[in-house]
Amino acid sequence: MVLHYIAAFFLIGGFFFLIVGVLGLLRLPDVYTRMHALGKCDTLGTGMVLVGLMFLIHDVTNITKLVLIMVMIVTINPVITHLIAKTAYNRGTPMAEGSFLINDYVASQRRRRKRMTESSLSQEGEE
Amino acid sequence: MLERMKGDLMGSIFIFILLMAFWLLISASTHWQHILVGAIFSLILTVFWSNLNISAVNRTNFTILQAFLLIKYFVHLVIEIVIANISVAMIVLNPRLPISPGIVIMRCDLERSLLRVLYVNSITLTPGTITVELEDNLLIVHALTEDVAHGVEDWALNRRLMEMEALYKK
Repeated sequence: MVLHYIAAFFLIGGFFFLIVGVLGLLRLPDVYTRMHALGKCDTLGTGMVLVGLMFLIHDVTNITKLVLIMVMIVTINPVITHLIAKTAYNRGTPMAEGSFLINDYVASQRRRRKRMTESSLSQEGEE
Repeated sequence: MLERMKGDLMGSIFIFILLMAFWLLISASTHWQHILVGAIFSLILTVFWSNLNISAVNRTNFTILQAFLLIKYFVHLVIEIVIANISVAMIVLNPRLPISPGIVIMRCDLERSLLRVLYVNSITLTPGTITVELEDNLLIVHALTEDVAHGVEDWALNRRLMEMEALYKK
């Protein structure tokens, strides 16, 4: 009986996140922001639904299959999200109005060099 | 095929045991006919795909410490995924839709391809960011809000991955 409540929690939570994903697809302005909603909410939503089903099935065989499906979804979903975003970026798909651009490349390189010199100095100090 | 198997006997046995365990989980029966069929098929797969075994040349050391770090990383990742989903749900369900999207260009210092894959996929799954492009050490990230964009670099999971890579270099 307790298992049923746990399963219901996971199933309802999963459905909630799937609905949020679809709502995000409808409401958000451009491709990239839509990928935010779909890439994240679908992963957790489907995962939670599968976990909920696992609590209802008392069968090792089927639980193994569900675990396999979950692993595949968790690995494939971000890859496909990344591919869609990459293709859109390389084709020059316009972003929503008011998008910002931060070029942090040079600054992060500089920070990294500083950190490395600091760590080497501290190592010398220890020796 | 057989020479390759002899060259890496331990690897072949390991893969055979792995396939056999998978078969037992799928069939869930201890009848001797099932086990025999499973053993025959596992053997066929091991022999025919022996060229995919890890050869002794490019084998890397995988210590218990690394496995422990990876498990810790995945536990942390699940927590981050839940937080990400709740934050996206808050944004989508908010009637005013408080987004300020944009692109961040930054550096990725990881060199091992496995850790790079892990890093990029975790960026996609964690709060407010998706990876757009990773070329050499140039990483382009799309952020959903501006606050998130400033915090991408000082990120706990990135530090863990750097720790793991430092282990390889020793």
